[in-house]
Amino acid sequence: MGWWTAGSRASVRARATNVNDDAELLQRIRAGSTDDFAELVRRHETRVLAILHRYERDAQRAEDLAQETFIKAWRALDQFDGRAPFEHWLSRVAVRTALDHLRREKRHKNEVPLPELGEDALDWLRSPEEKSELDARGAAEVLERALRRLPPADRVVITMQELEGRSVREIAAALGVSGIAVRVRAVRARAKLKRALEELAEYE
Amino acid sequence: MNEKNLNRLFALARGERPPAPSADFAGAVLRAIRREPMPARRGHSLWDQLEAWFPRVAAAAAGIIILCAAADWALAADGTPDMTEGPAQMVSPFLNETGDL
Repeated sequence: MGWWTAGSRASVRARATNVNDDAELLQRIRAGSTDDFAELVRRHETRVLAILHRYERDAQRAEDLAQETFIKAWRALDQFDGRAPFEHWLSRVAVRTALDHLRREKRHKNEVPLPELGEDALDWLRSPEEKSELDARGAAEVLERALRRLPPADRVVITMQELEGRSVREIAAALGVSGIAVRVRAVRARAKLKRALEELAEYE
Repeated sequence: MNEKNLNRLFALARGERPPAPSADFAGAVLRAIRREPMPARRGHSLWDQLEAWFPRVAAAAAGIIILCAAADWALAADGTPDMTEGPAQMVSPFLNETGDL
């Protein structure tokens, strides 16, 4: 029992310290200290980039989206009321930035060149039961290719639920919809994703 | 694509390491926000502070009201005159037969 509870207690304490530190930084930023915003960015940049990379695999474009997220957060800092940790609020800004990006991409889908799927990925798609090797990157690329075929909001729901392990409540808060809407959308999106993967296996 | 294979795909994809931000990412963000006009920050007026305290004040007020109501009920059950009774009735338990204290 000892080691994992000690670890859990340590991570709760660390999170509590970070929440307090963020609150102090935010107070100084609101008082006019722009430089302190850079420290806030440094604390959260890895997490924000990780969220956006799920929706945009090109590293440079993902970083541009991360920058856009922080600029939006800067403009909207007054809307952060401090009731939840800053990182949760910032994650929601990142998800909405991703959703806007997916919607723009959808409008210009013919202009966006798609990278080729690797041989391992194609082999796995065609015969997943044969225990063919697929690494994490290959799996992410296959999923990304299939998820592109889904409506943006469906993609966000599936990504948050299955790849980030978020709860229905967190997803609903990020998208500004009800929990029931999230559940219904998740079921439909999963069915669409399966069909998209089958089509990829047939036509790639 | 069955459920088992889809879940395997998700499990594999979850293990992907995301890219690290570039070395000067925070600096680039700061340069971008410095080009923006400073957003108007709301001051923390008395009203803002009261608004922030409201939930706690409301809970405390509700607690006091409940305590007072409970005390009033308990005293009334005990035969002690309650606040709805007039001054004469409130004083009467303390007066003797001749009307003196």
